Amino acid sequence: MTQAALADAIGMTRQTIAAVEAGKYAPSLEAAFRIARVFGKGVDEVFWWEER
Amino acid sequence: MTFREASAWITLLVSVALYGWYFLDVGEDVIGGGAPGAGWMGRLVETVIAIVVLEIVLTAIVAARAGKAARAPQDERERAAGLKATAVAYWVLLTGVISAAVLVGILGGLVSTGRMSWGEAVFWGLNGLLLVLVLSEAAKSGVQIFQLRRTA
Repeated sequence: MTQAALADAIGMTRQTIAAVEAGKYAPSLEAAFRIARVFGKGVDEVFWWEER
Repeated sequence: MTFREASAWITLLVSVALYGWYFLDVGEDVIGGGAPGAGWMGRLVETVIAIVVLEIVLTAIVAARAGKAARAPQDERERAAGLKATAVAYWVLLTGVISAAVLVGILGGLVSTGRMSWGEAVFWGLNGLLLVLVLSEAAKSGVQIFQLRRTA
């Protein structure tokens, strides 16, 4: 799936999706759930957090 | 670059360029203690009209190239950038308005003691307020661009 397709699926811009993938932007909880639902997976399977 | 970032760039660059030209133009008259040139208000009106027309034209061009992205509502990242920009611009505006109020008080004193004409006081007061507005809008656009670039 392309960034643009994912962005269209959840109502965000492609640039925001790119920023999420690059770790430069943390999506809201709602956006994270929407993204996970697109892939048919749980939020914790798509997102993880590491101590910096 | 998203449509919203492009719009912010247009606002920032057009405002800085045209208002900068205006302030330099009228400033040449008063540098060194001279009186404001006649027709400065006309030049201000021309500047505002030019800014409005240029922003509309450039934004329309960018919107046409952006297609459906220009009509889409802001996403959360763009909204967050806008909120941060508004918060910073508010403080710039507040500081500027307080400074302008002090300026108006000083101008009133100068007019009442006959050391400045009413026309000169209007010139300095209006342009002081205009500068405050321009700076706060520039700050808003600048912060918006910075936030969008930082998270891009």
